[in-house]
Formats: sequence, C-alpha cells, structure tokens
Amino acid sequence: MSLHVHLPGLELKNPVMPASGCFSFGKEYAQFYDLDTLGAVIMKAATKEPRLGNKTPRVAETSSGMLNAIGLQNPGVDKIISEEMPFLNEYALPKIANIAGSSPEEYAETAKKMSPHVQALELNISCPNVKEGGIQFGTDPDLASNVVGQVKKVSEVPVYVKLSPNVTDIRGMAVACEQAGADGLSMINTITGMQILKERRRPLLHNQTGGLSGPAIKPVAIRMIHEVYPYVSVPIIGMGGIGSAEDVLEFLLAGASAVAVGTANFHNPFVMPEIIADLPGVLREYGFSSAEEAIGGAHY
Amino acid sequence: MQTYDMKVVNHREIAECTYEITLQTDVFFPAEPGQFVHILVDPPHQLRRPLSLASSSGREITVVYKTFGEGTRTLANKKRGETVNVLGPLGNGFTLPEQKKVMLVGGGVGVPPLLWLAKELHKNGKKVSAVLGFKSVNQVFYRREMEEYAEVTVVTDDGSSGEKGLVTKWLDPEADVYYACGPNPMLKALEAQLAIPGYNSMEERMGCAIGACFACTVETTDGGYVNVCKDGPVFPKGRVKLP
Repeated sequence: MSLHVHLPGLELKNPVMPASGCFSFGKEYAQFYDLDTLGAVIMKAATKEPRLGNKTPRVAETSSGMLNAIGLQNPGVDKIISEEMPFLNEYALPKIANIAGSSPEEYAETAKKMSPHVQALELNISCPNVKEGGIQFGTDPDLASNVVGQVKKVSEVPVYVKLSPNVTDIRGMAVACEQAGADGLSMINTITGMQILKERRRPLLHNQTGGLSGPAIKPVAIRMIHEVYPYVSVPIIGMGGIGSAEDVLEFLLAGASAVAVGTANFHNPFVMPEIIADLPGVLREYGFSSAEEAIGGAHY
Repeated sequence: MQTYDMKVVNHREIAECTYEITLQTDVFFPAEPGQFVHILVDPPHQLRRPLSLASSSGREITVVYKTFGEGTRTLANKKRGETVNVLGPLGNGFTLPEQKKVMLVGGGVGVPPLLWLAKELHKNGKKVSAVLGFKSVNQVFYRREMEEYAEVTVVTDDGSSGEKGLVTKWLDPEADVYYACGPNPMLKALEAQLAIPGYNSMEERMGCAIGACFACTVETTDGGYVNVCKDGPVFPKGRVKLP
C-alpha cells in the first residue's frame, strides 16, 4: 500500500503532517516519536519581528473542539532560522514554513528569508487572533492576490496559501489565490468563535474571540474543500478536526492531496504516528490501493 | 516521554467540590514534587486537564482537583477500577532550599503540591510552616496531613475555620524562604509583601502542556516570555510578571 503523495515542492512518503501552530518547531513532539515518521512538518508561524502574542487565557475547550487566541507568538524569522531550524534539519522530512505579516512587504521580506531553508511556504492569511494583518488578507480576494503575488516574486520554493473559513465565498478566495500564482492551498484555518465565562459575565479568552478548531469544524473543512476542489488545479492540504485515519480518508475523498493534524495532538501526542500506521488498513477497507487513488474520490 | 494508562484505586470528595484521585501504574512513573500531569478526560473532551501532583511513589500518584467546569465534573465520575490516561510527569519541580526555615503558602487547590514538598522538606530536616488559605470551612482539606510535616495555620475568607481573612495577614515572620501555590493575586500579594526569597508555582490554562502550543505563555519581568508548562510551573519570585 503506497501512502506516497506528490505536491509542488513536496514528495511525501505519507500525507500526514502537523498543522502550523500546534507543533511549534518539532522539538517537543520529538520526545515522543521519530519526526521522520511524518510526511512533513509545518512550522509555527514566522513573522518579521518577534511577537509575544496575546495575554492569557489563550485557550478554552468547547463542545468537540477548542478556541485559541495565541496571537502568532514566535521568536521572529531570524531566530527561527538560527535557533529552530538546526534541530529540524537533523531530520530528513520536508519542512514547510508558515509565514505571517501585517503588510504584503512584511510577508515578502519574511518569505524571502525563510524560503532557502524549507521545501515550501504556507502563507498564513487567515489568523483570526491578531489586530493587524492575518485574516484581513484572507477575507478580501484583492488583498490576498497582492500578498500572494509579492511573495511569489521572492520565494525560491512553492507557495501554499492557508485560507480562512471566515468568508462567504471560499471558492472566490481560492480561485483568486491560484490566479495570483499560489502553488497550493491549505484549508481551513480556524473559525472565529467566543466563549463566555458565566461567573464573570465576560468572554473567557483575554482576546475575547478565538479560533475554533477540533472535530467541531471537520464538516466545515470537508465542505469547503469539496466546494473548492473542482474549481482549482492546484493541490489542497486539508485540515480541520482530523483525529483518525478514517478522517484522513474523508479529506482525501473531498479533494485534499495531503492533510494536517492540529488539535488532536493535544489530546493524544501519538496521534499522527497512529494515524499513519492505521491509514493503509483504512484505505484497503474502502477499496483503495494507494493514498493518491483516493484524492478527489468524492467528486463524480 | 510517554502516556500512562493508570487505574483508579481511590477517588473521594475531600472538601466541597474538591476531589482526591489516586492512580496506579504498572510502569514506573518518575516524578518530583512540583511537577504536574496532563489528564485525559473521556471524549468528547478535546483538551487534557493539567493537575499538580499531591504525591507520587513511582507506582501510585495522587492529584487533587476542583470541579470547576465540565471536564473536571466528568473526571469526578471516574470509578475505582476504571482507567485514566496520564501524560507526564511534566514541568520542573521545586528546587529545595539552602535555608533552614521554610514557609509554604497555599491557596485552595494550590495546597496539594505543597503537601508533597512539605514531606520532602521535613525529611531534609527543615523547619516548615504552612499557611493554608480557603474560602470557608467546607473547602478546607489536607490540614491534618500537612500537620505531620509543618506548623499549620489555616485561614478562611470568612473565618469559619482557623483564622479570618487572607493568607497574607497570617504569614510566618521567622521564615527565610517561601514556596507559594495558589491564585495569581495571592502570588502577587506575597511578592509585594515578603522581602525573603521565594518560589511561585503557577496555574494556567494549557493546550499541549509540553511547550509546543504556546497556550500558557506568560511574560517575564525582563520582557521575555516563558511557558508555564515547560519552563515552570515553578518560577523563582520576580521571574514572571504576574497577571
């Protein structure tokens, strides 16, 4: 059973990787298993300057999911390259850098610095938890095209664009990004939500709103990927509530060529190796002889 | 690092909405006082619950928690003989002091890790005093247990048990180092009031609890940041800008 999938810049021995922001830069989960078990790694978002992020509380559990409002905390692109990449470079697996910024120029500057060190970039134009940048680029097709175009000009590696589900027309956003030169799409980022602390009569998260992730958003992710798939020719990395090999197959069928696992890592630190081990059996059970064969299988 | 499937061997309500659960493991669990565990509550709960260790013998661990939300209420339903998945031990434990006279200050469910510390300090020949704060008499626990190792002062907000008021009113003036675990306002008040060195054990909402998700990041006094889970939960006094 071949789990191999091919995407621009990425030859993956299996389609499973950690979602950006849930895995930092790999060191912590390397205490549990060999990172080279994974198809690839998507790193925590990098910005031009270091960011402290939001005040706590930054997370809250919800029905079948969680809200987070970390606020793109990271040590800045220079430190990521000098202090975090050496550890990851001990592993052979493909590395994808997630890039965020508050202007197209800032995205481009960070992308230019980062791209020589990785196999692909993932543009984070969909973070719901920062005041400047992030999601504003992900909800306006013109702004998104501009960012993608600027980054494409300077990047040495393929550029994936991580789309926000917080839009009315996901297909329009996807098509705009492809036309601007995106080599692939990541779908979906978190859905904006809020939880109220009843005892204190105020939002639980210090940032008030947060991004909803986990099994609660899986049907939304599946729907959006299924909706976008027929209208783009670039591959999609699917994410949103994946916790099992059965979930992975569902994403492949909807149109994803690879998947990322986020929230489930917190529940079970071994979830990704377990999914990878289970995947051949699940594919066989549903009548597939390879992972690639299942991609887009729910379209006829 | 690994997760452990542990068997519930004891589970009881020791004060109002406060439960003590003892779990047994077949595989040696190497923990130190001040460390914590990340406990998996049954599905559909997505996040584990970080709880500090009240004791560990390597084969048996005890934690104390308050039923504050749905997750801990679900945990409270666990019966003897059932299994609980435990990730840990996590974080850095207490550094034992050079000083001779040690004061422990605990607020509510901040008391349990101090009980284990008290035992270690007592074993090391230290003179230990403990000031334990609770809301009211119904919520007092671990008084007798603590008295085995320390000179104990219980303080309640309403005076229904022990002394009345806040712990900061009943501190041990003789102590030359302190260890505190409790709500942030308490930690902050102690830092402001006490001239002696000390350590704070902090609580924060967590995601991964291993330093990967940055959910429990707090600012340090020198403008940097630390994760309570990986860099703490115990910090020297003055290290963290207490919220």
